[in-house]
Amino acid sequence: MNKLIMFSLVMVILVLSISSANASNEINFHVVIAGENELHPGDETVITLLIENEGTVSNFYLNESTAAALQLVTTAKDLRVQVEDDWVPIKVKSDNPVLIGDLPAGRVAKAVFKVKVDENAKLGEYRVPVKLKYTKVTYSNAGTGVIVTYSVDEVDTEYVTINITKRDYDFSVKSIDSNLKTNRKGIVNVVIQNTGLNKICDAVLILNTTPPLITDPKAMSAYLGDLSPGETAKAEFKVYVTEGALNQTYPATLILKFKTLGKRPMVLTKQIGLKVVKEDVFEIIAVESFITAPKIIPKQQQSAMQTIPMSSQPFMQIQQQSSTRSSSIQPITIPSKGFVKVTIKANENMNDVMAMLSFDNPLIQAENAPYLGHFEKGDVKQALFYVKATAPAGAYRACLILKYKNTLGDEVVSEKHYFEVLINSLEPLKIVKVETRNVGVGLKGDVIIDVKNKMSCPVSDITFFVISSESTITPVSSSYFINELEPGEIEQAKFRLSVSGDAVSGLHRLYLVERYDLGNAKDLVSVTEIPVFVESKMAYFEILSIQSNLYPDETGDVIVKIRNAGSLTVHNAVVKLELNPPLTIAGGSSLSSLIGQTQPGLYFIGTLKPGDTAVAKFKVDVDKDAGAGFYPVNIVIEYYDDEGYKHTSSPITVSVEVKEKPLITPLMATAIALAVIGLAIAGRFARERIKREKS
Amino acid sequence: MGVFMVLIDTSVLNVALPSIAQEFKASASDVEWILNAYTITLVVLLIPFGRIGDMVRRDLLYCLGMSIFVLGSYLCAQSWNVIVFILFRVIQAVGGAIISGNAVAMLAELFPPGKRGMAMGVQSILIATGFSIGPVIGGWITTHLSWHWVFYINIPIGIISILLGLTLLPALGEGVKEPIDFVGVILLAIGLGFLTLGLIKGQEWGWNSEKTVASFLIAFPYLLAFVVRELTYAYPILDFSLFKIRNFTTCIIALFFMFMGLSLSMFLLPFFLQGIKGLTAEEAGYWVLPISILNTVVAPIAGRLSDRINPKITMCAGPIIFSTALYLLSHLKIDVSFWELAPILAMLGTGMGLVMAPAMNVMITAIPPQKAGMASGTIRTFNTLAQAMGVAFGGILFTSRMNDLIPNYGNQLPSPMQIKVLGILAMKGFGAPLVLIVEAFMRSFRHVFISAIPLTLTGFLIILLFLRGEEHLRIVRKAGSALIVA
Repeated sequence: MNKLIMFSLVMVILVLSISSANASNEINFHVVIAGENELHPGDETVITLLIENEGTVSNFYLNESTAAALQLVTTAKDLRVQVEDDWVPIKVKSDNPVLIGDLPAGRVAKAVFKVKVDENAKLGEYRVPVKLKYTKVTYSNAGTGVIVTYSVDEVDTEYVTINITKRDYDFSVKSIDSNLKTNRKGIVNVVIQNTGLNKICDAVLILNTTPPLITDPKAMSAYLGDLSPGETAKAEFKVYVTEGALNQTYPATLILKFKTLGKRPMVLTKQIGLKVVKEDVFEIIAVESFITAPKIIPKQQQSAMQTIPMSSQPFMQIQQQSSTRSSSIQPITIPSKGFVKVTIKANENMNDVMAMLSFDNPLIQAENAPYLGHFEKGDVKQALFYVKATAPAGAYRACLILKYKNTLGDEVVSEKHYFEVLINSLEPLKIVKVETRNVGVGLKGDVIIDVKNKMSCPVSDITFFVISSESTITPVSSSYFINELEPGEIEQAKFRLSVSGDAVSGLHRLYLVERYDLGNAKDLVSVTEIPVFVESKMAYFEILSIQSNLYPDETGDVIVKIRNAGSLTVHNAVVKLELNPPLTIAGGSSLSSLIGQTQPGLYFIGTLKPGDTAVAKFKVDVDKDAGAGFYPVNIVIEYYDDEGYKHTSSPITVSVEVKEKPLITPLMATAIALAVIGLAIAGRFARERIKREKS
Repeated sequence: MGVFMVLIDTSVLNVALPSIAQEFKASASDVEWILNAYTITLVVLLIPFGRIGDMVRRDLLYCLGMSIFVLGSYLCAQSWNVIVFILFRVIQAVGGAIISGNAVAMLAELFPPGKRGMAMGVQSILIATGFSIGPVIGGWITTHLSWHWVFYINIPIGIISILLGLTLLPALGEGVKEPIDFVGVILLAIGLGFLTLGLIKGQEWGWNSEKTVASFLIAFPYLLAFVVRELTYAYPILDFSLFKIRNFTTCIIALFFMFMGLSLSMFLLPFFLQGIKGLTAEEAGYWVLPISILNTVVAPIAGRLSDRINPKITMCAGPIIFSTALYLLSHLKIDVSFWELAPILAMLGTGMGLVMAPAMNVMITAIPPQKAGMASGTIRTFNTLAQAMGVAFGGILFTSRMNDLIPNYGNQLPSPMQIKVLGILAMKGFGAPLVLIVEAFMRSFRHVFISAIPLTLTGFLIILLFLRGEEHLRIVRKAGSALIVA
């Protein structure tokens, strides 16, 4: 019984063992790291895992029918390798898991992983779990064949060992601090640490950037000296961010040049990112402009443009143009001078700020670049620009930049800000009335203009300059000053003109240059036109007769009879006789010869009403070599008008006759006659004496 | 005092003329006639009034002349225009002619031979001082008062002189009453008038101008007629027999040359001091004071000596010293200081003092007392003509030299105003004319002084050869014995 029981038990065990031997296959893996398994903190490297399938099978009835299935049951199908990085100081940066596919038994597959070693990883050995997921094929013998069954998501976990150690020479970037903004310079502070095993000697840290970041050549490297392992060092770099940079992080490279303990030079690099913030240096809060339109004087006149006694630049241009015009006749533009006030808000601290305004149109030019001093961030200041304009009325684009010193002491030019500036046909000082007195052909007269302040604020220190575009009209007193004009107030300005005898009577145009102060804007210039009526000739003289008794080598008389043929009473008239050799004014020859100028003879004839005549007498020396004949002389009358202004008539050329010296002149005849009488008297007395003596 | 007043009036007026011209708005020609009318009237009337003085009471005539002069001075100060002023100057000249024409004669009558030398010396002082301190007084009056006081100042002096004359002067003259030769006076007036006119205007008109030639052409026939008339007429106003007196003729001719040389050289000195050295008229007056100071010292001594020793000695020494001074002046430098110039001018004053006082004494002593007035007028006339001729001759010499140096310079004398104009030009950077005219002036100036030396040496030779000093001493001694006997 016992034997039976024992037999039965053995049989059961056999049956069980036979039945179990029917389904016995195993898939085992062996995983190792190819090459060295040493990694360094902070490394980003690649590790290659070699996976070997060690699958086995037992109790497999191998026959012709099942031979093909043998490989199937020992293959790990759809193998996926996954590095479990949760508990180790590395992070897989590449695909994880890596798909291997089918791995037959006895074969080795490679799985490549990109890993990043934690910078702060503890040094030492780590067992890194490698999870292997695959599909297992099981079988069971059935008659002449086998029955296979697929078992998915079989998992096997193997371990590989990594050893995290330090490099011989290495560094890590501990921190980056930057304040980079577009279109200006900023500072980049970098802290590095020697993370190598050895000491770094004579370390130099260089920041290498690419546009839009430009490293300042003066602050692109820092000498850090010797760095022991674990020691940190700070370096500061200046970086200019060009205009147009985006609001993003830009790459840069830290280059650490040093010497090893063996004095061998070595270079290590680290890529870093630098953040750039797009922000303007300043903002334009408001723009106020006042620029009047310039005037163009029509061509045809040359010498009319006189020197204007002003130091302002616009007039320098006039003078230059007028001087050049004498050689080539061209229209002349009288520029206007206005102002542009720009209110600026600073977005950062700035020192020694200078504002510069420019225009796209070269006919408009800012004359100054105001100094605005120091700006704290958020400060608002006003920049006043004086603008000279020769461009016609219209809208023009202006560009404002600030030149300043930043907090680092660098000279920096800000970004450009564009805005619109208008040139208007304004008349800030309107000519409301023009009156003329004595402005006639060949005369000097006054032009009186009434000027009204059309502005809404007082206009002060007003100086007017009258300019004639015609050579026949010359301003004699060309400037006039008014202290201040309140809004709407009217004042008179007076000018004196000299109209030549060649002028045409009628309406002429003069140009009035106005220079004035408007608020805190000084020396603004506008130009306007004045219509002036030149009357026909009012004062002129006729030579009724000229008598002379001139003989060679004698002093004679020249008597000129003059008539006031004009319609103007002249006062304190003086007749000037201008002579040329061989005639000279008696008594003036010595001084004339000394100073090399002929002195005219002067004769006062006083007041002459229209139609009155006067006689002027002159003593004239005739050179001994003068021949008989008629010689031209010029007669000029200087006189004062009713208002006491002096005028000079146009020269009247007449001729005087030098006669052949007669043998006996009336004077000599008289003298001889008297002498004869004297001799006769003497003779008579002598005869009486003789007679008396005889008697 | 009268002579001093008359002479000082002329030089004082020169300084006041610009102010007078300004007030009357007178032209340059008017201003010239203010001076010329006086000079011509004086020259024309000196001889007639000298002659009249021989026929009437000379003391009363002198007081009349003084009264006319004072009246003329008052009227001049009250003038309202330039024509009236010139007319009143002629009245003043009439008074001046009476005073000047009889001054020497009065001295001759008041002082007997032997004491006249001293008196003549005093008169010489007054003559020289009148010329030299006139600009100083005139400058002071014009600056601190007004030009009117140049004439008002004559009134108290004149009145005091008249009162002193009426009370202190004895009855003088009143010789034989003879008819006045009016024809002779007219002939002399025409002749001397035109001669003076030609001399004083010749520089301005030009010496070969028709007017100048005409003036001389008229003058000489009438002077000839006057000479013939005086030789013919029984009662001449100028007795030519005076010229038969050797010492009188010698002295009058020698003085003529001396005065000519003096005025020839001296008329340029004010131009130098005021124009070139830039002094005012008053300052220029101070600079020439050494002439009158030395004359004041030397003239009385020389006058007294002429009555004791042979006057030929002092009268010969005078021109020599004077000529030496002229020579030194001909080397004058532009930067001469007062103390460098003063000794030279002192020599001039000494020379004149040594000549004038003895010559006057010798002349008056030589003539008959009844012809003293006539002689006095003649002496003053010759002196005045000599001065006019000296200025004319100096002008010719100066301007001809200036024309050599500056072509076409003309006939003008450089005025201080002209120099100032050139100075202004020089300050404006045009200095060449100033340099040229100053250089030319200095060279011409020296030339004139050199040219004056022969004239003064001629005077020296005439005195040396023709003066009979012993004869003068004999007359003096004779008169002295007569006085002692009396």
